[in-house]
Amino acid sequence: MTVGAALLVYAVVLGALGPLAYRHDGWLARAPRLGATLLLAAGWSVLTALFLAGLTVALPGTALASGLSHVLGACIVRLRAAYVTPGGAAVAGAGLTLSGAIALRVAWACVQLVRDRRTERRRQRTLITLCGKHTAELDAVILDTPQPAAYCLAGRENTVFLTSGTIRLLTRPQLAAVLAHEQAHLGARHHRLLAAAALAAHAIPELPILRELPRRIRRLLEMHADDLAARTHDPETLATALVAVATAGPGLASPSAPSAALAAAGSDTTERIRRLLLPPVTLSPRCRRTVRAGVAALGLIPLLVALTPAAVAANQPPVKRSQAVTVVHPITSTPPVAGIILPKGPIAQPTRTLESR
Amino acid sequence: MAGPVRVRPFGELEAAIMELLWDAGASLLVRDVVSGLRPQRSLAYTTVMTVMDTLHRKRWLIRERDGRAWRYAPAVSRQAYTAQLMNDALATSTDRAGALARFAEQIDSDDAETLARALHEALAQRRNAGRQ
Repeated sequence: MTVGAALLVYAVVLGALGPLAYRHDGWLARAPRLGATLLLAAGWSVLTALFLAGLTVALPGTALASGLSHVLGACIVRLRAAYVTPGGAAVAGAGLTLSGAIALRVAWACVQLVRDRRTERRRQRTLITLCGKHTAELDAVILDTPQPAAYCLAGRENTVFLTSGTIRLLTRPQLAAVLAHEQAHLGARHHRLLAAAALAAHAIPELPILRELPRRIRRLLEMHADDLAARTHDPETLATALVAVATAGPGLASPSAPSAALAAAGSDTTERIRRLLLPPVTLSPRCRRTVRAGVAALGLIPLLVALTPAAVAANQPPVKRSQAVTVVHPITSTPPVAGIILPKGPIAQPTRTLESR
Repeated sequence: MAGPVRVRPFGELEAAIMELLWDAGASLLVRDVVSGLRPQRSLAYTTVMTVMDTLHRKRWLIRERDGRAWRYAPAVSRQAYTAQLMNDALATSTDRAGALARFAEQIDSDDAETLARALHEALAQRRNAGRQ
């Protein structure tokens, strides 16, 4: 099996397993931050595998081969031989298209992410100017509006936002717990994980494992912030605050969310409450180590698989031009033929000659 | 429902005009707005008139005739606009997995009952478990 096919199979299997694991993700909630890292690693592993699959398939026919041969000091003939794929130019073209498309989409998603962040900051600044006031006592910005809400904005200046409605609704301990939850988001820099998930989701939204990644990660990170806040505040207080804010009623003029989103929000909130009041058994250190090893493996496997033929080729002696000839067509030419004839020990004459020395 | 459906932050002049009208608490003529803005900005009457006309077209302002001129008043209160802007930010952010996520997601009244019940059940279980 060629390297490209192996990477494709890996991506397909992982991509199919992902949603299955999503359905049985109770154990992830026992170590939410680690779980989020694992999901991210899996998603990016699929993405990287597909990207590298396209590259390895396209390698023999393009300048990638010469680049790699310079980097590794490997014979270019052996390198091309190691990555040869049946199907020739058509498959190579498809591979290049796939990798190119993925790279472009990720780049575009980066641009959009930066732009979205800027818009967000501008919008929050407008809100602050219109009706916001920073209080040192709570270390938060209070927006003068009756609808209860609390959220945070990560960036150059991490800020927690509260509405005056929230302050009127909650007791002092509840307010402190909510603030601790939001500060936990900022301290643990959850926005970075969310950004990574968003990038992967925008790269190949057609894959369910990637499309659902941001929502899953967000759910786990809310639990993580709950856990962090519960270290210093009574979990019951946090749970009652959660219910109070969630059930305060829809906003004055908020755009109505689709019912599926509302339902998901309801079940997520229920899960958070149960988790706070009836905390699950945390993962043992051995389990954690295993999961961390899994994260590392997910990160490394696509790269190792993609580079193994190159490593093998780098360790082989270079092919002498007088003994054999490579026939590799660049993707622009036809008919597509790719093959390499290498000497097996000393031979009297080459099996096929296209060009003389 | 009065006011626009989609929300976006105002431009600088738009925001200044809206703030003036909110602070005034009564409908104003264009020339009142121009003089109200004057200490910070000296603007041409036509500039302010155009912007206020745009705001009206976007349904941020309502107006009624006063002789030959228009009297403008805000279509939504400052608090309502704030809530709209905030909800819009939170809604779009969660769509694109942005940096913002509210502490508790909005749920409707049916789910609210379920949630309250779940809370009481969990609290009871917790108390029982504590006693054992």
